[in-house]
Amino acid sequence: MQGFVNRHLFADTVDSRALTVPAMVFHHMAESGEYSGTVFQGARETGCFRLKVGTGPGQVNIDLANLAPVYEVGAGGYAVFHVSGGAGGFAVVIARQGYVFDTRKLQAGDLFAVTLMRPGAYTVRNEVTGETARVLVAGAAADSLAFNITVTDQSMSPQQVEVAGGQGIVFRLEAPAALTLRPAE
Amino acid sequence: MAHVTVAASQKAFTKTLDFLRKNFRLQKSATVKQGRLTATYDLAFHLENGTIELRNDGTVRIKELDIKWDKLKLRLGVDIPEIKVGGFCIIPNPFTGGCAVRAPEIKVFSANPDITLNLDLGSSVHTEVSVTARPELKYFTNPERHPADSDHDAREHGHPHQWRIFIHPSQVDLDLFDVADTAGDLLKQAAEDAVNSALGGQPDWAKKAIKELVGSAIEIFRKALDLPDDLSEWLADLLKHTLGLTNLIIDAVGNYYVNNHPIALEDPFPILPATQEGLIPVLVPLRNLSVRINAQELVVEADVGV
Repeated sequence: MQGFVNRHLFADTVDSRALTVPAMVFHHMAESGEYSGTVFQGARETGCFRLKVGTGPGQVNIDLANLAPVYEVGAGGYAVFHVSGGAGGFAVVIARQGYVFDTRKLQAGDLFAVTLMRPGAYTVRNEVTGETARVLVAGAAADSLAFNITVTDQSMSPQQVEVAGGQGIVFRLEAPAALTLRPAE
Repeated sequence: MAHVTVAASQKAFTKTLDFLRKNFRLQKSATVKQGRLTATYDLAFHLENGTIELRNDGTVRIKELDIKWDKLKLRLGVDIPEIKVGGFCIIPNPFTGGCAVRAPEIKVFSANPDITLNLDLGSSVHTEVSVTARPELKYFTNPERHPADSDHDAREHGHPHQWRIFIHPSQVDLDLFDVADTAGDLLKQAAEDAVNSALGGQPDWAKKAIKELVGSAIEIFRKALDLPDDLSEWLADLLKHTLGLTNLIIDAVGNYYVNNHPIALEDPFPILPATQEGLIPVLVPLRNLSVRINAQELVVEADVGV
Protein backbone atom coordinates (compact mmCIF):
# COMPACT_ATOMS: atom_id res chain seq x y z
CA MET A 1 0.00 0.00 0.00
CA GLN A 2 2.91 2.39 0.71
CA GLY A 3 3.84 2.37 -2.98
CA PHE A 4 0.57 4.01 -3.86
CA VAL A 5 1.60 7.47 -2.67
CA ASN A 6 3.69 9.55 -5.09
CA ARG A 7 6.34 10.07 -2.45
CA HIS A 8 8.47 12.30 -4.65
CA LEU A 9 5.67 14.85 -4.54
CA PHE A 10 6.38 15.21 -0.81
CA ALA A 11 10.05 16.19 -1.18
CA ASP A 12 11.07 19.08 1.03
CA THR A 13 13.96 20.32 -1.12
CA VAL A 14 13.60 21.80 -4.58
CA ASP A 15 16.22 23.09 -7.02
CA SER A 16 15.48 24.77 -10.34
CA ARG A 17 18.77 23.36 -11.66
CA ALA A 18 17.65 19.77 -11.02
CA LEU A 19 13.94 19.47 -11.65
CA THR A 20 11.87 17.04 -9.60
CA VAL A 21 8.16 16.29 -9.23
CA PRO A 22 7.25 19.45 -7.25
CA ALA A 23 9.15 21.81 -9.60
CA MET A 24 8.67 22.98 -13.19
CA VAL A 25 10.11 25.58 -15.54
CA PHE A 26 8.18 27.69 -18.06
CA HIS A 27 10.16 29.12 -20.99
CA HIS A 28 8.75 31.52 -23.57
CA MET A 29 9.37 30.29 -27.15
CA ALA A 30 9.28 33.49 -29.16
CA GLU A 31 10.99 32.42 -32.39
CA SER A 32 9.62 29.85 -34.83
CA GLY A 33 11.82 26.99 -35.86
CA GLU A 34 12.91 23.53 -34.89
CA TYR A 35 14.93 23.17 -31.68
CA SER A 36 16.92 20.22 -30.39
CA GLY A 37 16.41 19.31 -26.77
CA THR A 38 18.75 17.34 -24.51
CA VAL A 39 17.88 16.08 -21.04
CA PHE A 40 20.43 15.56 -18.29
CA GLN A 41 20.49 13.96 -14.88
CA GLY A 42 23.53 15.48 -13.29
CA ALA A 43 26.23 15.24 -15.96
CA ARG A 44 24.64 12.22 -17.61
CA GLU A 45 22.59 12.68 -20.76
CA THR A 46 19.34 10.74 -20.40
CA GLY A 47 17.33 11.64 -23.48
CA CYS A 48 16.71 14.00 -26.38
CA PHE A 49 13.76 15.40 -28.32
CA ARG A 50 12.82 17.90 -31.01
CA LEU A 51 10.71 20.94 -30.28
CA LYS A 52 8.91 22.51 -33.24
CA VAL A 53 7.85 26.09 -32.66
CA GLY A 54 5.46 27.57 -35.16
CA THR A 55 1.78 26.81 -35.42
CA GLY A 56 0.48 24.92 -32.44
CA PRO A 57 -1.00 25.32 -29.00
CA GLY A 58 0.03 28.07 -26.62
CA GLN A 59 1.62 25.57 -24.25
CA VAL A 60 3.44 22.25 -24.53
CA ASN A 61 4.12 20.10 -21.47
CA ILE A 62 7.37 18.17 -21.73
CA ASP A 63 7.54 15.41 -19.12
CA LEU A 64 11.22 14.78 -18.51
CA ALA A 65 10.44 11.40 -16.95
CA ASN A 66 8.50 10.27 -20.03
CA LEU A 67 9.97 11.91 -23.12
CA ALA A 68 8.35 11.86 -26.54
CA PRO A 69 10.50 12.29 -29.65
CA VAL A 70 8.78 15.45 -30.92
CA TYR A 71 6.82 18.29 -29.35
CA GLU A 72 5.03 21.24 -30.93
CA VAL A 73 4.10 24.65 -29.60
CA GLY A 74 2.87 27.86 -31.16
CA ALA A 75 5.31 30.73 -31.62
CA GLY A 76 4.96 32.92 -28.56
CA GLY A 77 3.78 30.00 -26.49
CA TYR A 78 5.44 28.32 -23.55
CA ALA A 79 7.46 25.12 -23.23
CA VAL A 80 6.80 23.65 -19.78
CA PHE A 81 9.46 21.30 -18.42
CA HIS A 82 8.13 19.09 -15.60
CA VAL A 83 8.59 15.68 -13.98
CA SER A 84 5.60 13.37 -13.46
CA GLY A 85 7.26 10.80 -11.21
CA GLY A 86 10.44 9.24 -9.97
CA ALA A 87 13.45 10.79 -8.30
CA GLY A 88 13.99 13.35 -11.09
CA GLY A 89 16.92 15.74 -10.86
CA PHE A 90 16.62 16.70 -14.54
CA ALA A 91 18.00 19.63 -16.49
CA VAL A 92 17.18 20.53 -20.09
CA VAL A 93 19.08 22.35 -22.81
CA ILE A 94 17.28 23.42 -25.99
CA ALA A 95 19.28 24.91 -28.85
CA ARG A 96 18.87 26.23 -32.37
CA GLN A 97 21.23 28.19 -34.57
CA GLY A 98 23.25 29.71 -31.76
CA TYR A 99 20.28 30.13 -29.47
CA VAL A 100 20.58 28.15 -26.27
CA PHE A 101 18.25 27.83 -23.28
CA ASP A 102 19.47 25.93 -20.24
CA THR A 103 17.14 25.28 -17.26
CA ARG A 104 20.23 25.41 -15.03
CA LYS A 105 20.57 29.09 -15.91
CA LEU A 106 17.15 30.67 -15.84
CA GLN A 107 16.85 34.10 -17.42
CA ALA A 108 14.54 37.09 -17.16
CA GLY A 109 11.15 36.15 -18.54
CA ASP A 110 11.36 32.56 -17.34
CA LEU A 111 9.00 31.25 -14.67
CA PHE A 112 9.71 28.63 -12.05
CA ALA A 113 6.74 27.03 -10.26
CA VAL A 114 6.75 24.84 -7.18
CA THR A 115 4.11 22.75 -5.38
CA LEU A 116 5.10 22.02 -1.79
CA MET A 117 3.15 19.45 0.22
CA ARG A 118 5.12 19.19 3.42
CA PRO A 119 4.09 21.67 6.11
CA GLY A 120 6.76 23.92 7.51
CA ALA A 121 8.91 26.96 6.87
CA TYR A 122 11.17 27.08 3.83
CA THR A 123 14.00 29.36 2.79
CA VAL A 124 14.05 30.30 -0.87
CA ARG A 125 17.49 31.29 -2.10
CA ASN A 126 18.60 32.69 -5.44
CA GLU A 127 21.92 30.93 -5.82
CA VAL A 128 23.00 33.58 -8.39
CA THR A 129 22.57 36.64 -6.12
CA GLY A 130 22.32 35.15 -2.64
CA GLU A 131 18.95 36.86 -2.06
CA THR A 132 16.43 34.93 0.05
CA ALA A 133 12.73 34.81 0.82
CA ARG A 134 10.53 32.69 3.07
CA VAL A 135 7.66 30.34 2.31
CA LEU A 136 5.35 29.00 5.00
CA VAL A 137 3.33 25.88 4.20
CA ALA A 138 0.44 24.96 6.49
CA GLY A 139 -2.34 22.42 5.90
CA ALA A 140 -3.33 21.34 2.43
CA ALA A 141 -5.89 22.47 -0.12
CA ALA A 142 -7.28 20.97 -3.27
CA ASP A 143 -7.89 24.33 -4.96
CA SER A 144 -5.72 25.66 -7.78
CA LEU A 145 -4.57 28.92 -6.24
CA ALA A 146 -1.04 30.19 -6.88
CA PHE A 147 1.05 32.80 -5.17
CA ASN A 148 3.60 34.94 -7.00
CA ILE A 149 7.11 35.98 -6.02
CA THR A 150 9.01 38.39 -8.26
CA VAL A 151 12.74 37.74 -8.50
CA THR A 152 15.08 40.58 -9.46
CA ASP A 153 18.84 40.87 -9.28
CA GLN A 154 18.50 42.57 -5.92
CA SER A 155 15.59 41.04 -4.12
CA MET A 156 12.62 38.72 -3.99
CA SER A 157 9.20 40.22 -3.43
CA PRO A 158 7.20 39.55 -1.35
CA GLN A 159 9.73 38.40 1.20
CA GLN A 160 7.30 35.89 2.64
CA VAL A 161 4.26 34.01 1.39
CA GLU A 162 1.96 31.66 3.23
CA VAL A 163 0.45 28.80 1.25
CA ALA A 164 -1.44 25.59 1.85
CA GLY A 165 0.13 22.33 0.75
CA GLY A 166 -0.74 21.67 -2.88
CA GLN A 167 -1.08 25.32 -3.81
CA GLY A 168 1.36 26.78 -6.35
CA ILE A 169 4.22 29.21 -5.82
CA VAL A 170 5.27 30.93 -9.05
CA PHE A 171 8.61 32.71 -9.24
CA ARG A 172 8.55 35.35 -12.00
CA LEU A 173 12.07 36.10 -13.01
CA GLU A 174 13.19 39.59 -13.97
CA ALA A 175 16.86 38.63 -13.77
CA PRO A 176 19.00 35.48 -14.06
CA ALA A 177 18.35 33.08 -11.24
CA ALA A 178 18.89 29.60 -9.89
CA LEU A 179 16.36 28.95 -7.11
CA THR A 180 16.43 26.49 -4.26
CA LEU A 181 13.91 25.84 -1.53
CA ARG A 182 14.96 24.06 1.64
CA PRO A 183 13.48 23.68 5.12
CA ALA A 184 14.33 26.80 7.10
CA GLU A 185 16.94 26.32 9.80
CA MET B 1 -67.49 -40.49 0.48
CA ALA B 2 -63.97 -41.22 1.79
CA HIS B 3 -63.41 -44.39 3.75
CA VAL B 4 -60.69 -42.87 5.96
CA THR B 5 -60.36 -39.37 7.37
CA VAL B 6 -57.32 -38.16 9.28
CA ALA B 7 -57.04 -34.71 10.74
CA ALA B 8 -54.13 -32.75 12.13
CA SER B 9 -54.68 -29.63 14.19
CA GLN B 10 -52.81 -26.37 14.04
CA LYS B 11 -50.82 -27.49 17.05
CA ALA B 12 -49.47 -30.43 15.09
CA PHE B 13 -48.20 -28.01 12.46
CA THR B 14 -46.06 -26.35 15.03
CA LYS B 15 -43.76 -29.33 14.61
CA THR B 16 -43.07 -28.37 11.02
CA LEU B 17 -42.18 -24.86 12.14
CA ASP B 18 -39.94 -26.28 14.84
CA PHE B 19 -38.23 -28.41 12.25
CA LEU B 20 -37.65 -25.37 10.05
CA ARG B 21 -36.21 -23.34 12.90
CA LYS B 22 -34.01 -26.19 14.06
CA ASN B 23 -32.67 -27.39 10.73
CA PHE B 24 -32.65 -24.55 8.27
CA ARG B 25 -29.20 -23.05 7.74
CA LEU B 26 -27.90 -21.12 4.78
CA GLN B 27 -24.29 -20.24 4.11
CA LYS B 28 -23.16 -18.42 0.99
CA SER B 29 -20.61 -15.98 -0.41
CA ALA B 30 -20.53 -14.16 -3.73
CA THR B 31 -19.05 -11.10 -5.46
CA VAL B 32 -20.78 -8.45 -7.52
CA LYS B 33 -19.07 -5.70 -9.51
CA GLN B 34 -20.84 -2.44 -10.28
CA GLY B 35 -18.93 0.54 -11.63
CA ARG B 36 -16.16 1.49 -9.23
CA LEU B 37 -17.47 -0.89 -6.58
CA THR B 38 -16.68 -4.57 -6.13
CA ALA B 39 -18.80 -5.97 -3.31
CA THR B 40 -18.32 -9.40 -1.73
CA TYR B 41 -20.61 -10.87 0.91
CA ASP B 42 -20.03 -13.82 3.19
CA LEU B 43 -23.17 -14.76 5.07
CA ALA B 44 -24.82 -17.41 7.17
CA PHE B 45 -28.24 -17.34 8.79
CA HIS B 46 -30.84 -19.45 10.53
CA LEU B 47 -34.47 -18.85 11.47
CA GLU B 48 -36.09 -18.07 14.80
CA ASN B 49 -39.52 -17.26 16.22
CA GLY B 50 -42.51 -17.03 13.90
CA THR B 51 -46.08 -18.27 14.24
CA ILE B 52 -48.04 -20.73 12.12
CA GLU B 53 -51.67 -20.35 11.13
CA LEU B 54 -54.06 -22.58 9.21
CA ARG B 55 -56.50 -20.63 7.04
CA ASN B 56 -59.89 -21.19 5.49
CA ASP B 57 -58.53 -20.44 2.03
CA GLY B 58 -56.66 -23.72 2.18
CA THR B 59 -53.27 -22.26 2.96
CA VAL B 60 -50.80 -22.38 5.82
CA ARG B 61 -49.26 -19.08 6.80
CA ILE B 62 -46.00 -18.72 8.71
CA LYS B 63 -45.53 -15.17 9.92
CA GLU B 64 -42.85 -13.06 11.56
CA LEU B 65 -40.10 -15.57 10.99
CA ASP B 66 -36.89 -13.83 12.07
CA ILE B 67 -33.72 -14.23 10.11
CA LYS B 68 -30.85 -14.45 12.57
CA TRP B 69 -27.56 -13.59 10.98
CA ASP B 70 -24.81 -15.90 12.19
CA LYS B 71 -22.53 -14.00 9.85
CA LEU B 72 -23.05 -11.06 7.51
CA LYS B 73 -19.71 -9.74 6.35
CA LEU B 74 -19.28 -7.31 3.54
CA ARG B 75 -16.09 -6.42 1.74
CA LEU B 76 -16.26 -3.33 -0.49
CA GLY B 77 -13.44 -2.77 -2.95
CA VAL B 78 -13.50 0.77 -4.31
CA ASP B 79 -11.55 2.03 -7.31
CA ILE B 80 -10.59 5.52 -6.17
CA PRO B 81 -10.37 8.09 -8.97
CA GLU B 82 -7.12 9.95 -9.48
CA ILE B 83 -6.33 12.67 -6.96
CA LYS B 84 -4.11 15.45 -8.23
CA VAL B 85 -2.59 18.78 -7.18
CA GLY B 86 -1.27 21.57 -9.37
CA GLY B 87 -3.09 22.76 -12.46
CA PHE B 88 -2.88 26.34 -11.22
CA CYS B 89 -2.79 29.24 -13.65
CA ILE B 90 0.65 30.56 -14.56
CA ILE B 91 -0.31 33.20 -17.12
CA PRO B 92 -3.86 34.53 -17.24
CA ASN B 93 -5.47 35.27 -20.57
CA PRO B 94 -6.19 39.01 -20.51
CA PHE B 95 -8.69 38.77 -23.35
CA THR B 96 -10.90 35.94 -22.15
CA GLY B 97 -10.29 36.14 -18.41
CA GLY B 98 -9.31 32.48 -18.49
CA CYS B 99 -5.87 30.96 -18.32
CA ALA B 100 -3.35 31.03 -21.17
CA VAL B 101 -0.69 28.86 -19.52
CA ARG B 102 -1.43 26.40 -16.75
CA ALA B 103 0.85 24.24 -14.57
CA PRO B 104 0.61 20.49 -15.27
CA GLU B 105 -1.25 18.47 -12.64
CA ILE B 106 0.66 16.08 -10.40
CA LYS B 107 -0.81 12.79 -9.20
CA VAL B 108 -0.90 12.36 -5.44
CA PHE B 109 -0.96 8.60 -5.82
CA SER B 110 1.61 7.04 -8.11
CA ALA B 111 -0.82 4.20 -8.84
CA ASN B 112 -4.57 4.25 -8.35
CA PRO B 113 -5.27 2.37 -5.16
CA ASP B 114 -8.17 -0.01 -4.83
CA ILE B 115 -9.15 0.60 -1.26
CA THR B 116 -11.02 -2.12 0.60
CA LEU B 117 -13.56 -1.60 3.36
CA ASN B 118 -14.52 -4.46 5.66
CA LEU B 119 -17.88 -4.39 7.41
CA ASP B 120 -19.44 -6.79 9.88
CA LEU B 121 -23.18 -6.12 9.68
CA GLY B 122 -24.54 -9.15 11.52
CA SER B 123 -25.89 -7.13 14.42
CA SER B 124 -27.02 -4.19 12.29
CA VAL B 125 -29.51 -5.89 10.01
CA HIS B 126 -32.97 -6.99 11.15
CA THR B 127 -34.89 -9.22 8.75
CA GLU B 128 -38.24 -11.01 8.81
CA VAL B 129 -39.93 -13.30 6.32
CA SER B 130 -43.39 -14.79 5.99
CA VAL B 131 -44.44 -17.85 4.03
CA THR B 132 -47.79 -18.78 2.50
CA ALA B 133 -47.98 -22.45 1.56
CA ARG B 134 -50.37 -25.08 0.26
CA PRO B 135 -50.26 -28.80 0.88
CA GLU B 136 -48.80 -30.99 -1.83
CA LEU B 137 -49.17 -34.76 -1.93
CA LYS B 138 -46.47 -37.15 -3.13
CA TYR B 139 -46.14 -40.92 -2.88
CA PHE B 140 -42.86 -42.22 -1.51
CA THR B 141 -41.82 -45.70 -2.64
CA ASN B 142 -39.31 -46.68 0.01
CA PRO B 143 -36.16 -48.03 -1.71
CA GLU B 144 -35.08 -49.71 1.51
CA ARG B 145 -38.12 -51.95 1.64
CA HIS B 146 -37.04 -55.48 0.71
CA PRO B 147 -39.04 -56.86 -2.24
CA ALA B 148 -39.82 -60.01 -0.24
CA ASP B 149 -41.11 -58.10 2.79
CA SER B 150 -44.79 -58.15 3.60
CA ASP B 151 -46.51 -54.93 4.65
CA HIS B 152 -46.11 -55.96 8.28
CA ASP B 153 -42.45 -56.86 7.75
CA ALA B 154 -41.78 -53.53 6.13
CA ARG B 155 -43.45 -51.75 9.02
CA GLU B 156 -41.51 -53.76 11.55
CA HIS B 157 -38.23 -53.01 9.76
CA GLY B 158 -39.06 -49.32 9.59
CA HIS B 159 -39.25 -49.17 5.79
CA PRO B 160 -42.89 -48.74 4.82
CA HIS B 161 -43.99 -46.86 1.74
CA GLN B 162 -45.57 -43.53 2.54
CA TRP B 163 -47.94 -40.86 1.43
CA ARG B 164 -46.17 -37.60 2.08
CA ILE B 165 -47.78 -34.22 2.46
CA PHE B 166 -45.36 -31.36 1.81
CA ILE B 167 -45.98 -27.78 2.77
CA HIS B 168 -45.26 -26.16 -0.54
CA PRO B 169 -44.65 -22.39 -0.39
CA SER B 170 -46.64 -20.47 -2.92
CA GLN B 171 -45.32 -17.13 -1.70
CA VAL B 172 -42.41 -16.01 0.44
CA ASP B 173 -42.29 -12.35 1.43
CA LEU B 174 -39.43 -10.40 2.90
CA ASP B 175 -41.48 -8.35 5.32
CA LEU B 176 -38.65 -6.49 6.94
CA PHE B 177 -35.10 -5.68 5.91
CA ASP B 178 -33.93 -2.97 8.22
CA VAL B 179 -30.37 -1.70 8.40
CA ALA B 180 -29.74 0.18 11.62
CA ASP B 181 -28.45 3.74 11.50
CA THR B 182 -25.36 2.51 13.29
CA ALA B 183 -24.37 0.70 10.10
CA GLY B 184 -23.63 4.10 8.59
CA ASP B 185 -21.19 4.72 11.42
CA LEU B 186 -19.61 1.35 10.76
CA LEU B 187 -19.12 2.36 7.14
CA LYS B 188 -17.45 5.63 8.10
CA GLN B 189 -15.08 3.85 10.47
CA ALA B 190 -14.31 1.21 7.86
CA ALA B 191 -13.51 3.98 5.36
CA GLU B 192 -11.19 5.61 7.87
CA ASP B 193 -9.43 2.30 8.53
CA ALA B 194 -9.11 1.60 4.82
CA VAL B 195 -7.57 4.99 3.99
CA ASN B 196 -5.15 4.74 6.91
CA SER B 197 -4.13 1.33 5.66
CA ALA B 198 -3.62 2.65 2.12
CA LEU B 199 -1.41 5.44 3.40
CA GLY B 200 0.55 2.80 5.20
CA GLY B 201 4.02 3.86 6.28
CA GLN B 202 3.61 7.52 5.37
CA PRO B 203 4.51 9.99 8.13
CA ASP B 204 1.61 11.56 9.96
CA TRP B 205 2.08 14.95 8.31
CA ALA B 206 1.78 13.31 4.85
CA LYS B 207 -1.38 11.46 5.86
CA LYS B 208 -2.79 14.67 7.24
CA ALA B 209 -1.90 16.60 4.08
CA ILE B 210 -3.52 14.00 1.84
CA LYS B 211 -6.64 13.88 3.97
CA GLU B 212 -6.86 17.66 3.92
CA LEU B 213 -6.58 17.54 0.13
CA VAL B 214 -9.26 14.98 -0.46
CA GLY B 215 -11.50 15.46 2.55
CA SER B 216 -12.38 12.88 5.13
CA ALA B 217 -12.10 9.19 4.33
CA ILE B 218 -15.85 8.86 3.87
CA GLU B 219 -15.80 11.84 1.49
CA ILE B 220 -13.39 9.93 -0.74
CA PHE B 221 -15.91 7.14 -0.98
CA ARG B 222 -18.89 9.46 -1.31
CA LYS B 223 -17.30 10.98 -4.40
CA ALA B 224 -16.02 7.69 -5.82
CA LEU B 225 -19.36 5.90 -5.40
CA ASP B 226 -21.76 8.86 -5.49
CA LEU B 227 -23.10 7.91 -2.07
CA PRO B 228 -26.25 9.59 -0.75
CA ASP B 229 -26.42 11.28 2.64
CA ASP B 230 -28.10 8.32 4.32
CA LEU B 231 -25.40 5.65 4.37
CA SER B 232 -27.61 3.09 6.12
CA GLU B 233 -30.21 3.36 3.36
CA TRP B 234 -27.47 2.93 0.78
CA LEU B 235 -26.22 -0.19 2.56
CA ALA B 236 -29.76 -1.59 2.72
CA ASP B 237 -30.21 -1.05 -1.00
CA LEU B 238 -26.80 -2.59 -1.72
CA LEU B 239 -27.62 -5.69 0.30
CA LYS B 240 -31.20 -6.14 -0.89
CA HIS B 241 -30.89 -5.38 -4.58
CA THR B 242 -27.31 -5.05 -5.81
CA LEU B 243 -26.15 -8.14 -3.92
CA GLY B 244 -29.54 -9.81 -4.33
CA LEU B 245 -30.08 -10.85 -0.74
CA THR B 246 -33.84 -10.37 -1.06
CA ASN B 247 -34.10 -13.03 -3.74
CA LEU B 248 -31.51 -15.22 -2.04
CA ILE B 249 -33.50 -15.31 1.19
CA ILE B 250 -36.86 -15.82 -0.53
CA ASP B 251 -35.54 -18.63 -2.72
CA ALA B 252 -33.68 -20.36 0.11
CA VAL B 253 -36.62 -20.33 2.52
CA GLY B 254 -39.09 -21.19 -0.19
CA ASN B 255 -37.07 -24.08 -1.57
CA TYR B 256 -36.36 -25.50 1.85
CA TYR B 257 -39.85 -26.73 2.45
CA VAL B 258 -40.35 -28.21 -0.97
CA ASN B 259 -38.51 -31.42 -0.28
CA ASN B 260 -38.13 -31.39 3.48
CA HIS B 261 -40.10 -32.72 6.41
CA PRO B 262 -43.36 -33.82 5.08
CA ILE B 263 -46.26 -35.04 7.16
CA ALA B 264 -46.01 -38.76 6.43
CA LEU B 265 -48.73 -41.40 6.37
CA GLU B 266 -47.71 -45.02 6.13
CA ASP B 267 -49.12 -47.02 3.31
CA PRO B 268 -50.78 -49.31 4.18
CA PHE B 269 -52.04 -47.22 7.11
CA PRO B 270 -52.44 -48.80 10.60
CA ILE B 271 -56.07 -48.15 11.43
CA LEU B 272 -55.91 -50.43 14.44
CA PRO B 273 -52.76 -50.88 16.52
CA ALA B 274 -51.31 -54.15 17.69
CA THR B 275 -52.83 -55.43 20.97
CA GLN B 276 -51.27 -56.70 24.11
CA GLU B 277 -52.98 -59.98 23.48
CA GLY B 278 -50.78 -60.45 20.47
CA LEU B 279 -52.99 -59.31 17.64
CA ILE B 280 -51.03 -57.62 14.88
CA PRO B 281 -51.98 -54.12 13.72
CA VAL B 282 -54.63 -53.80 11.08
CA LEU B 283 -53.19 -52.19 7.97
CA VAL B 284 -55.29 -50.81 5.14
CA PRO B 285 -53.99 -49.47 1.85
CA LEU B 286 -54.81 -45.84 1.15
CA ARG B 287 -55.86 -44.70 -2.29
CA ASN B 288 -57.16 -41.46 -3.81
CA LEU B 289 -55.81 -39.24 -1.07
CA SER B 290 -56.90 -35.67 -0.92
CA VAL B 291 -55.80 -32.93 1.43
CA ARG B 292 -57.59 -29.82 2.53
CA ILE B 293 -56.95 -27.14 5.09
CA ASN B 294 -59.33 -24.98 7.05
CA ALA B 295 -58.81 -22.63 9.94
CA GLN B 296 -58.90 -25.48 12.47
CA GLU B 297 -57.10 -28.41 10.90
CA LEU B 298 -55.55 -30.20 8.00
CA VAL B 299 -57.79 -33.03 6.81
CA VAL B 300 -56.62 -35.99 4.78
CA GLU B 301 -59.24 -38.18 3.16
CA ALA B 302 -58.65 -41.44 1.39
CA ASP B 303 -60.30 -44.52 0.05
CA VAL B 304 -59.34 -47.91 1.30
CA GLY B 305 -58.32 -49.99 -1.64
CA VAL B 306 -55.94 -52.53 -3.06
